[in-house]
Amino acid sequence: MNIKTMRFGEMEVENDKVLKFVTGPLGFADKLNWVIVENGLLGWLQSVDDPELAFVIANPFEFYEDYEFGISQEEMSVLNISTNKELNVISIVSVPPKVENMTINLLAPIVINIKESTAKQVILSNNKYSVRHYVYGDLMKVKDKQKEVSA
Amino acid sequence: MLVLTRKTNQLIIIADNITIKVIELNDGSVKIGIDAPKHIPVFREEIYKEIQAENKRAAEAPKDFNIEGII
Repeated sequence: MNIKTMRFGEMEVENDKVLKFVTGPLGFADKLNWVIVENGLLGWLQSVDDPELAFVIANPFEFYEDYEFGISQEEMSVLNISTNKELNVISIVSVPPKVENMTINLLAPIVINIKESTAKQVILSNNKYSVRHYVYGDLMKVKDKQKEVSA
Repeated sequence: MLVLTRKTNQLIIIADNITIKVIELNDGSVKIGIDAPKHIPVFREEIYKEIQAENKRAAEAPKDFNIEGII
């Protein structure tokens, strides 16, 4: 399918690459269809339904190896997932005008059923995580480490 | 808004599949039990609003923000 986007112009997306949210991200309940645009350590989650709507995303485990991830049985069954191997986790990143102040939402990640391409934003019961965790410094550290490895 | 008075252990039933039970009253706090189908999300208002607001903020990345520019 062909989708229009503000940030990437027109995009050709294979139907099976469209992520279908069971319920839209909080505040965007009616936006059910999304596509991931990968771009290294950060990526984009682009709405298929709204050309202007896109989130910056990241894999939280890239920056926080000890990120503790537990979701309820109910959430697992809504997504038709029975083990952790069947899921992927992405976090939404907020980028303010001053990019160095970017934050990652560790409290409410998006869980993806890899096989079925379904997804849902869940709220972790572990309340040590914040919706606004400063991530720029950690991003730069991981970036530098990757450069060392490839050098 | 519909306002109902309930005592401890009394229920409110919404449609066929949601029940809300007053479990305990204690010093100005009410402990409430909610039974709802799995696809009905239930949140504390504060946390719901916090995440909703953060999602809205995240949807407003600068128009010229370019990931390649920083990584």
